[in-house]
Amino acid sequence: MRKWIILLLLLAAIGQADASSLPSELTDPLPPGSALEELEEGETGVHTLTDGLADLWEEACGHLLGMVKESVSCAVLLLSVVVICGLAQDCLHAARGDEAPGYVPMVGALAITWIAAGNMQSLMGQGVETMEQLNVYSKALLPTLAAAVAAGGGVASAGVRHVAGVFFADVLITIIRNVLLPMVYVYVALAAADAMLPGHRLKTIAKAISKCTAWVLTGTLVLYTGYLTISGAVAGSTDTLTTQLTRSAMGTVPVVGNIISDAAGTVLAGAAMLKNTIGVAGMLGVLAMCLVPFLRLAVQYLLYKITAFLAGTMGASQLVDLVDGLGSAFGMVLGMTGACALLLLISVISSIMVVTV
Amino acid sequence: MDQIFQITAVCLIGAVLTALLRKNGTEMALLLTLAVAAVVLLALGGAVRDITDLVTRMLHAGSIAPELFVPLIKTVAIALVSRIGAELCRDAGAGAIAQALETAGALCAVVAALPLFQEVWEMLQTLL
Repeated sequence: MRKWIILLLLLAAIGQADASSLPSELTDPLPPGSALEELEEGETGVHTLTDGLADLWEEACGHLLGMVKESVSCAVLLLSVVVICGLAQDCLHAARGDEAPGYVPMVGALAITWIAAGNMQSLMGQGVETMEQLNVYSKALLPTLAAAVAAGGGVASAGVRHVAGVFFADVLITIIRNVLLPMVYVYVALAAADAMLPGHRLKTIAKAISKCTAWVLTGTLVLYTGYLTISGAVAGSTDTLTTQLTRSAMGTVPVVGNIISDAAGTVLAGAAMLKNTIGVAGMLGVLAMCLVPFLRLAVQYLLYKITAFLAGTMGASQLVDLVDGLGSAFGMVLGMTGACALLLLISVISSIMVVTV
Repeated sequence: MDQIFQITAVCLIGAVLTALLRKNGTEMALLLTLAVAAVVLLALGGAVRDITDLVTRMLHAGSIAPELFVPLIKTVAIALVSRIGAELCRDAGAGAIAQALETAGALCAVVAALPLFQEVWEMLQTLL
């Protein structure tokens, strides 16, 4: 009789821990054409983290060449503008020996801004769209993960992590949308104006904006990680103690106490497995969402920096600084997208790391 | 390669003759300087045409709007012409006319770049 009860409870535990079907809340928010099609279809029965990362890597390699080809034409245009202005300045400088007229680099700066601005609008739009998608995805992922953590015995940890994750994600997205993104546009305008005006005093304001953006993003992530570490440690000990006390209390029940205690341990282990599966799926989902926009921004950033480096050997310094500044603007948007993704990944990883059994 | 040797030879001969003519009067020297500068610029016309054709073909191949490069090329041309003209005026001892010519060159360059400026301004307005 005892053996039948154990068998029935084990079967119930296995049913609980069936991780082959993910909740639809995790797969529905993934955008169409995202990197992990298997994840959208919910086929994660044999999908480990390594498999998922390998799929993402293949996807990234497939997209990379096309993105580089798209962006190289823009870089060549920028370089040609810098070369033309550089040649003109050299001719004019040779003619008289003093500084060439300022309107030549001014027109060069206008041409560079025009080439870059169209590019910038589409890529920044893509970055913003990705951040919004991550925000929507976090609203599905974090509660699902919190429920899985709570089912595994981490009730207090689940509550703390869920609230912190949602709060910090909202705060970060709000700051990015309302403060940092407008600051990036102002940065671009300042970089263009600085290239056209003598004195280059606007460069210091542009640098301050860039530093401010980096501080805000880093500060938010550091605060979130610190809060998780401190509150997680307290909540984790509470959960462990609660689980142990509960199991000990169950063990004191006469006749079936030990059976129930052992079965509860099995259920908790199953719930932990489910939590890990949801966590891995969530991580892969976040990475899949960010992959293409991140690659595009990264390629654009690198190409602008390389163009600025090459232009530095032959062009006017204000035009080189402008190209470098435009590359930094792409870098800022890249940082913002990366910060949103990193915040979600930290939430997921910290939930996976919760151990209560 | 041959062209640069020819141009150098013409400029050197012109410089020597200008130095000789200056003793008798600056008017003839100035006219000779003008003539040498005009000959050099006309000689460069073929090279400029070849470069312009190549740039035009590249722009068409890359489907790049001419509004981008035409103002830039015009500005560079205005800068070169006004600088050479101003130097000729200074050679003639007319510093004020040279300065006026350079100012006119700057204004004409700004006018030539106005379409580009308007495009960038509209784009920045949509961004901001």
